[in-house]
Amino acid sequence: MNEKTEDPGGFQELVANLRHVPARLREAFRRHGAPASRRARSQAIFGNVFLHIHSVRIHRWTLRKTFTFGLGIACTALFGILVVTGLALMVYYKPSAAAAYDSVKDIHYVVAGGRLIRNMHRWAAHMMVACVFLHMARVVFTASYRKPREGNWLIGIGLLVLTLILAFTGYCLPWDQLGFWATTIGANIGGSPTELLQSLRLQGMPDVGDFQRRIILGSRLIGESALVRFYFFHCVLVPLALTILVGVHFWRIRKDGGLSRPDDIRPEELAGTPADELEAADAVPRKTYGLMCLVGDKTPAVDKNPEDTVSSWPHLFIGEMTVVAVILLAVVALGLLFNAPLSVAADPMVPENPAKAPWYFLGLQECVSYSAFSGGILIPTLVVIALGLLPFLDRGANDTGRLLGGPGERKVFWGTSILATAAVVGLLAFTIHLTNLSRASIALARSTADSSLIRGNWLRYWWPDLGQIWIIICNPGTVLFTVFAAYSLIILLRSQSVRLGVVAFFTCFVVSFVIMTYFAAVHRGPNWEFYWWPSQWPTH
Amino acid sequence: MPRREPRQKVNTVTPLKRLLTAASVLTLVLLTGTMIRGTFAPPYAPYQRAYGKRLKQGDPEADYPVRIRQLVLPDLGRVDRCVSCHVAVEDPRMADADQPLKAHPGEYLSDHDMQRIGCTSCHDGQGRAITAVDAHANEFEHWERKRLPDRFVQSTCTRCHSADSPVMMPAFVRGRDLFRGRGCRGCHQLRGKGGLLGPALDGLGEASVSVKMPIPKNRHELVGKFEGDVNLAYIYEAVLTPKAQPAETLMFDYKLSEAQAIDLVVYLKSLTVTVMSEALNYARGPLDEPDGGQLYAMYCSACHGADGMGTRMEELKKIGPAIAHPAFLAVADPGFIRAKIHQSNSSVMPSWGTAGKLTAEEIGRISDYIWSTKGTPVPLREVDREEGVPRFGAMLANGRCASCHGFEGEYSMDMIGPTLNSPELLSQANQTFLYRTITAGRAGTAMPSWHFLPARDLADLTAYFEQKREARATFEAATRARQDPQAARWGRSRYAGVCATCHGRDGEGVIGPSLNSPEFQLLASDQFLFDTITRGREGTAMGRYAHLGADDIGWLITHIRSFASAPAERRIDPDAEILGFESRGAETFARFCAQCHGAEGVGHIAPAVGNRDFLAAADDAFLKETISYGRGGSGMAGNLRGSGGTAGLSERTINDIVVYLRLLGRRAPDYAGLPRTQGDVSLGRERFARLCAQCHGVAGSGDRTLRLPGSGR
Repeated sequence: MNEKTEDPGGFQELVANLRHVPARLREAFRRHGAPASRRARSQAIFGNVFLHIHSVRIHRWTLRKTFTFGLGIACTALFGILVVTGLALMVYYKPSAAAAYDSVKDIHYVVAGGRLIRNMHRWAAHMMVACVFLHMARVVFTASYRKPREGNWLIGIGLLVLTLILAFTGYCLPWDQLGFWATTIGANIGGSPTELLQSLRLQGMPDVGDFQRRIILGSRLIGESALVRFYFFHCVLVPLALTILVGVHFWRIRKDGGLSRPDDIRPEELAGTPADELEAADAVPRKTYGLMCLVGDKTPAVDKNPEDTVSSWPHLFIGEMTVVAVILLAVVALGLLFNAPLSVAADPMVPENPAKAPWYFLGLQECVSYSAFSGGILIPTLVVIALGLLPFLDRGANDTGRLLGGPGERKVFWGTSILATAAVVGLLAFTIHLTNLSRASIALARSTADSSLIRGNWLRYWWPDLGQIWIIICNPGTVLFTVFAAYSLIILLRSQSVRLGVVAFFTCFVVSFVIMTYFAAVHRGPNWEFYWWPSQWPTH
Repeated sequence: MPRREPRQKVNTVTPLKRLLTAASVLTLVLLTGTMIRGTFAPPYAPYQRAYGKRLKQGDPEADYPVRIRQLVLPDLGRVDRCVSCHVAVEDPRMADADQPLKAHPGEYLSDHDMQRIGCTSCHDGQGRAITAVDAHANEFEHWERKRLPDRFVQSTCTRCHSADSPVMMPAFVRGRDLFRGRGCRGCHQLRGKGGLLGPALDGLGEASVSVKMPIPKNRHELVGKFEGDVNLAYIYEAVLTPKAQPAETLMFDYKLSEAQAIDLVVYLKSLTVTVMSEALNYARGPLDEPDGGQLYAMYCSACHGADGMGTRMEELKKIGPAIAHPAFLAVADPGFIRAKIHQSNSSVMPSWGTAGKLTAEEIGRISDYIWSTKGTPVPLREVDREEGVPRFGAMLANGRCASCHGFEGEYSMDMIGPTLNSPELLSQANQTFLYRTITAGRAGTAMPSWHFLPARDLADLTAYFEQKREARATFEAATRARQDPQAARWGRSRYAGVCATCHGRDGEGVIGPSLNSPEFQLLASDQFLFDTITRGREGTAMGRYAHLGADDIGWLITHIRSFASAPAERRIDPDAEILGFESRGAETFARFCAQCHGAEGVGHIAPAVGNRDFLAAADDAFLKETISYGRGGSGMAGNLRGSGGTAGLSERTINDIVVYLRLLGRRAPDYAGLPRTQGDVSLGRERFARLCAQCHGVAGSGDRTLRLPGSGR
C-alpha cells in the first residue's frame, strides 16, 4: 500500500475515482440508462425493488381515472402517513391510564410539531376508513371481485376488518371521555353474546360474551390493562398483520393479472388514457413469458398482444405519486386547520351521555341499541359472510371491470337506492313512533297511577312479556337485513341474474350504512333517544 | 431513433407531473412554515421578551431567555405552564403592569407556595397549555375546568381548607350561609346526607357540561356572562331561574337577588370532588358540628319555613306544615317529632333517618330544636294571681274544650275526650291538676298541650271547674246525718267504695295515711275530716270529694270514727299558743323533715305537709302533737326528745317547725317545674301492679280502660 501512495499515477487514479463517485453511485442503483426505450423502461422497473411492485406494462384501461379513482393507492398512502406519524407519536405517548392523557396534552402543546403530527394521524385515520369503504364499493360496482380475484377480495375484507380494528383501538388511546366511553361500548358489544345465552336461559354454558369482553379489555372493567392491550393491538399486532396482508393484496393484484377489465373494450372507452409513444421505438422482444403461465386468467402477454398496454413507468407511477402527494397535502392542511378532538380526561364515574362510537360504527351502534347481540355480533357477522360470499355466488364474466356496466345494473342501483332509502327511513320512523307510544303510555300510567297501562317498546308494545330471544331475532336491524336479503333475491329471480342480485344487496348495504350512520350521528341524543337536532338535547 | 406515430397522442404525464410538483411544494411550504412559526414565534414569546426588556432597564446585564417556563407539581401530578406567559407573578415591581405580565395581587403567594400548589389548583384552566386560548380553555365550549373568572376563584379554597375555616372569603361565606340557611339540603344530598327530591350536589362544581348546561334560550347570554364557563352559567341559571329546569322539576324560586345568586354560585362551585389537601399533606380542618337550629335551617327550613311557620310552595302544590305553630306543638311531643323525622311515611317529606342518612343524634338535635320553639306555659303562680271568672271559663270551655269533651263536659258516647262533668273526675281534679293537664296536655292521648293560653284564660277555666265542683254539703248537714241509726252501716259501704283503696279496709293506711291510729283519731276533729274530704289535699292523691252528699260525708265520718279502738290522750294543749322562729324552723325542717316530706314540704316519700289544704285543716296542736309523738301506722316517729324517734328535738325546736309550717301554708304553692310525682319508683311499681293494673294494664298500656300517658309505646 505504501508503494502505491508514492506512485503519482495511483494518486491520480484516486482523484479520478473520487470525481466519478456521483456517476457511479447513480449507476449502482440504476444500472440502465435513461428509460427512453421499452426495454430500458422494463429494465428500470425490474431492477428496482420498489418499482417492481407493478408489472412492467399495464393496460390503458387501468389508467382511466373513473375506474379506480385512485382509492387503493389512497388507502396505502394514508396507511403510510399513519405509520410515520404513529411512530412519531410513540416517541412521546405513555401508555398508562395515569399518564396517557397528560402525555397527549404534552404532545399537543409542547412537543415540536406534535400538534400537527397528532392531527394528521387522526384525520388520516378517518380518511383511511372512508377510503377503504369507498374502495370496496368500487370493487363491487365494477364486479372486480369475480374470478380470479376471489382470493384477493377475501383478503380485502380482512383488510377492512383490520382497518376498523386499528381505528377503533386507536380511538381510546388518548384516554379522554370520548375514547373511554366509545371503548366501553365496543367492549360491551364484545360481551353481548351473554345476552343471547341469558335469553335462551343457558347461563350454565361457558359465558362467551364475558370471555370476549375479557379478551378485549384484559380485565372485567375497562382500565389500565385495557389501555395497554389496545396500545399493543394498535401499535404492533394489527399494523403488522395489516402490512403483511397489504403486501399479499398487492402481490395478488399482479398474480391475478392486474386490475380487472372487460373483454370487449371499445376504443372510444380508452379516450383520455395515454397511448404508448414508444410503440414502434424498438422491436418487441421475442421473449416467451413462459413463466407467466403460472399466472391465472388473462395476462397482458399470454393470450393477448401487448396492444393497448403502456409501460408502468411513468404513466402509472406518476399518477400514483400524485395521489400520494395530494393525499399528504390534504392531511397536512386538515391537520393545520382542525385540531383533533380531545375531550376531558376519562372519568369512569361520569358517563358520556350519549356515548357515541366513532362514526364508522354508529350504524352498528344504532342496531346495538335494539339488541346488543343482534346489532353487535349477528348482523355484522351476517354482513361479512354475505360480502365474502359475493364472488362465489356471482360467477359471471361479462362486463367485469365496468362501473355498473352490465345490463340493467344502473337501473337496479338507482331503483334500489330509492327503495332502500324509503325502507330504512320508514323503519326508523316506525321504531321511533313505537318508542314514543311506549313513552306516552308510561307517562299516562304515571299520571293515573295505573301500572297496567304501561306498554313496552318495539314488539313489546303488543306483547309485553315477549322473551328477549324474540327481540334478538326480530328487531329493526334484523328486519332490515331480512327485507334486504329478500329484496335482493326477488331482483335476482326476476332478472335471472345473480349479478343484479349482488348489486341490489350491496346497494342496500351502502344505503343503510350511510343513513344509519347519519341518523345515529345527528338524531340520537342522551339515552339514545330521538331528537331532531343536538340543540334540542335536554340540558339538565 | 424514436419515431413518432402521426396520430394524436394524449399527454397525461405532464399535467400529473405539474400537480405532483405543486402538491409536494405546497406540503413542504406548509410544513416549513409550521416549523418556523413553532420555533421562532411561540405564543408566549412576546410576553417574555417584553418582560426581559423591563428587566434590562433595571439591570443591563440581565438576560431573560425565551423558553417554556413551567411549574412541575409532582405532589398533584400536574404541570402548570401558565408562567410561560404570566412570567412576572412573583415580581412585585410588576404590580401595575397589564396582564399577562401583572404580579399576583394580594398576599396569597406568601403563604401559598407556587412551587407546590401551582396556578390551576386555585384558578383552574388547562395548566399544560401554552396558548392563552387553550390555557384559559375559552376555545372549548364543553370544558369543565375553564379558567375561573376572578370572583369565583374563592370557590376553590375548599380543595384544601374546610368550608368552615376562618380563611374563607366573604362571598363564599355568604353563599355558604345562604345554602345552609335556606334548607337546600331538604331536597339535595351532600356528602350522603340530605333529601332525595332533587339531585345530589356533590361535585356540582365539576358537573359534566355535556349534561349540565343552560337551556338553549339562556345559553348564549349566560355563558357570555361567565366568561365562557358553562358550569358557572348552569349553576347560576339553576339557582336564579329554576323555571329553566325541566318541566317536572320541584325546584322552586327563592327569589334571590343578583348578589345572593352570585354568592350562592360561589359556594356551589366549591362543591367539588377534587381534594388536594391530602396530596399537599395539609391538614384540612373539620367542618363545624351544626346545632339543632342550624340543622333545622339546613334540612327543614325550605319546606317548613325559616321560622317554622310553613312555606306556601306553588311548585309543590302543597304547604310545608307549620311545625312551630302552637297548635301543632300542642298535639305533638318530642317522640312523635323524632319518629316523624326518622321515618316520614310521606311522599314529599324524606325519611331522614333512612333515606336522608341523618344520624339519630342529629335527628334528636333537630327535634329538640323544634320542641324548644314551643313556648312555656305561664307559671301556675301567675294563674293564681288572676281572679278567675267562671262565666268566661264556661265560654272558653265551650269554645275550646267542647269539640272533644262535649258541651258543659257532658258525657257522650262519640266524644273523643273523657267526660269532664263526672264527679269522680272533678273530685280528683284540683287546680294544679287542671293547670298541668291543660298546659302540658296528656301525652299518648288526643289531649293537646294548651301551653299558649294566657294566665287569665287558665284562671277562668280553672275557676269554671272549681265552680262545678263546689261542695254541696255543709258540715252541719253532715253532722245531722250522723244521727241516722243506719249511719254506721251506710258509712262502711261508702268507705269501702271511696276510701279503702288508699286508706285501707280498716283505715290502716295503704298509700294514704292510716286513719285508725290513736293519734290521728285524737287529733283530727270532725271538722278536719269534713274539710279534708270536701277540699281534698293539694299535692297528694287525696282528691276533693265535693260531689258527695252531706249524708255520705256524715256516714263516712261516723265510720272513720269507729276505727278508734283505744282512745288516745292528747298530750298537747289544743288551746296553747305556739310561738317560735320561722328561720330556725326552716333549718330544722330542711335537716330532718325534708328527708321524707321533701324540701319545703312538697312531699317525697311522706305526705306533702307544706300543702295549703292540709295546713288549713290541721291546727297547730295537731301539728305539734304529730311532730312530737309521731303517727302510729305510718313511718312518722315521735321526734320529741325521749319519745322514741331518732331526731330528739326539743319542744322549742318543734314549735319553730310548726311556725315554719304555718309560713308554708301562707305561701302560694308553685308546683310548675317540679317533678310531677314524688316518690319511690319501686314502691310505685309494686303498688301500681296491685291497685291499678287490673284496669290500666300491667305496663299501663291500657287493658279495658285508659292508656296511661307515656307508657306502652
